[in-house]
Parts: sequence; structure tokens; C-alpha cells
Amino acid sequence: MSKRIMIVVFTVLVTVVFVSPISLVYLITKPTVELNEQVFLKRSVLYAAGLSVPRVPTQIAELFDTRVEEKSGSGGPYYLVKSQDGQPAGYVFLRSGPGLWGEITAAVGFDAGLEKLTGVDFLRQNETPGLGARIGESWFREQFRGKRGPFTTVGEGEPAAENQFDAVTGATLTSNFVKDLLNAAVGQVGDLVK
Amino acid sequence: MADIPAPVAGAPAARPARPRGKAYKAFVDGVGANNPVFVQVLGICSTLAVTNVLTNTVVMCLGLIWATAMSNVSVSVLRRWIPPRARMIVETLIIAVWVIIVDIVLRAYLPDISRTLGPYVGLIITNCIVMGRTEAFGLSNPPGLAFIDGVSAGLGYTYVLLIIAVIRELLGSGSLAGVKILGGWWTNWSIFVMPSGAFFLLASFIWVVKGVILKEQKK
Repeated sequence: MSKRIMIVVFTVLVTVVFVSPISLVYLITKPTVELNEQVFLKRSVLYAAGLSVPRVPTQIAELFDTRVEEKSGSGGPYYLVKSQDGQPAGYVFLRSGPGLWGEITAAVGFDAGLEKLTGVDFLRQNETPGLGARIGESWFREQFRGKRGPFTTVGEGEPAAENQFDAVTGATLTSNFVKDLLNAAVGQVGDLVK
Repeated sequence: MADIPAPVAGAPAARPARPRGKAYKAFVDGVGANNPVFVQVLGICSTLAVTNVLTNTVVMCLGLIWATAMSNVSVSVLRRWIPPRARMIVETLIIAVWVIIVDIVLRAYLPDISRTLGPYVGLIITNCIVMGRTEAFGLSNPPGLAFIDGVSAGLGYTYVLLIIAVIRELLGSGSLAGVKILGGWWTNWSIFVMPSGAFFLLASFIWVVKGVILKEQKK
């Protein structure tokens, strides 16, 4: 009987001893982790707005504060992008949709007339590394600038019209999920800013 | 005495020969004759999961070397007090602690790499190599040796994964660590990016190593 109690006591003791340093490390790094999340969001919004994104986190925050204003619309918060003289230049929306393994969240930027895309960036995605995850590559994200939805896809590397984008080879499903996400955004964009 | 290897003969006389031989054996075992991947065939799941892009493989392997070495040392330090019936729980706890520290540190200081690795870092906890080493070595050996054994098992895992990752990324994406190596003429072999490609590659690797290299050693 006492042996069994010893096992319980030992296990509890070891757990306390080993978990306390983790909690400490977690608490110490928590502000940094939260700051990183903020930087990720700001970076994506600036990228989708078509602005050139600085590399240094403090500069990202600075540019974001001067050029972007957070607004709340009927479909949740969105970002109003201003030109250098303070005039409205575009809008960025955070849109989520299903992906192959998990939800895809994208920052979708529109011009001031809500007609053409200024850019697309993916905030969260769990697509297959090397295949679907290539939607995070620069060539894929860059191709949306100046395009006008609703979209259809063409094969990777093929010339795309104004309402088309290059799909990722070997990742047809992911490409279609991205297409659906963007088309939903294009369809609803008029309501989102109300 | 004649069969003592040459390096020992030149060593300072004050250093006892026995522990050194043990350390040497513990190290060579993990990298060669007792390699976790191609001899014990452990850690296969992560071998398939993280070898399609070289960058992920490198960070994953560093994480695994750290986790195996530190867990092995911790278990070894506690080995006289761990009740035999509760040893698995304690081992899992210790492994989880060292791995989560890696995860938190990556998230705070290397956020971009942490993003691309996603859940893989946390999955080091379930890597059978770590548990295997604490069970087979940490529980019955002093901390110094346990550390060497952990590092060696980690390195044994690392170089196998690096070889597989280089082949997979080169043939599957035409690049290495995200940098394009093969030009536009190269048609990517998508199968190598998928887990099934890793299966073929790993099987061929084990086949060659066991059939050719290890067989010759036995003779």
C-alpha cells in the first residue's frame, strides 16, 4: 500500500518540478509571442494592401499605424488603407475558408472602388508542405495584384487573364479552396464595408 | 592488451580507459551499428513527415537531438528514484517538458520557422527514438554517458533524415532549403513530396545499408 502511495507522491512531485520551469518560460516569452502574432497580422495586411513591407518589426508597426485604420463592418473588423495624403486608397479583409487539412485564413486587399484586388496573403494555412503549402510562395501571392474576380484557375505557369490565376501543380484541391475563398470575398465585399 | 585501438595508447595515462571506451561505444552505436532509423527502424513517422523540405528537417533534427539528450540526462539523474511501475509516465513527462521548451522558444524568437513547422515540433514528444533511448539507456546509465548516447542517437537520426530530405526536395521540388537548384527544364516528381515518396526512399535506403554495408561488417 505504501508503495502505491509513494508512486503517486513521486509522480506529483516530478510533475510539479518539471512543469514549473515550462510555465516560467511560457510567461517570460508570452509578450514576445503576442507581439509576433501582431507583426504577422500587420505584415499580411500591408502586403495585401499592395504596400512594400519593411523587414524590421518596429517599422512594420510604424507603417501600419500611419497608413491603416481598423474599422468594424457588418462582417467583422476590416482595415481601411489610406494613401500618403490620408485619402482612402483601399480595403483589406480577413477571410477564412476550408482548406485541405485545416482552415485557410487570408488577408484580401481591394482597391478604393472595391473592384480589383491589390493583393492576397495567407495568414494561416496547414496545406501539404511542398504541394498545397506552396500557396505561401511569392509567385502565387504576387499574381493577384490588379486582378478582378470572380476567378477561375489555369495550370501553373500558363498565362492567366484578368479573372484567372495560376493554380499550384499537384494541389488542385488547395487551389480550388483558395478560389472559393477569394470568390466569396469578391461576392460579399460590397456588404462587408457597410 | 594488443587489441586496444591505437588512439587509446596515446591518451594520458591518468584517464581511466574503461569509461572512455563506454562513451565511445555509446556514441558510435547510435550513429552506426545501432542507428535508430535504419537498424531499430524507429521514428519512421517523422522521417516521412518532415523530410520534404530541407529547412524543416534541419530544425526538426536539432530539436530531436536536444530533446533526446536532455531527456536521457534527466531520466538518468532520476533513475534511482523513479518507481519502475511509473517510469513510463515520468519519461513521457520529462520528454514533453524538453520538447515544449523548444516549441515555446521557436515561437518567441524564430516565429517564421515556427510557423512553417506547425505541429511537427510538438510531435517530437511522440517520437519513439526519444522514449526508446530513455528506456533502454537513460534508466540504467550515468548522466554523462546518457547525454552522449542521446546526442548520438539524435545525430544518427539526423544524417539519415538529411540524406532523405536532400533527395526528396531536390527531385520533388527542384530546390534545396527553398532555393531553386534545378532549372526550368526539370519536371518536379510530385511523388517525392508526398509521404509515399518518402516510404520508397526510406525503404531503399534501409535496403542498401542493411544489405550491403552492415552485412559486410558482420562477415
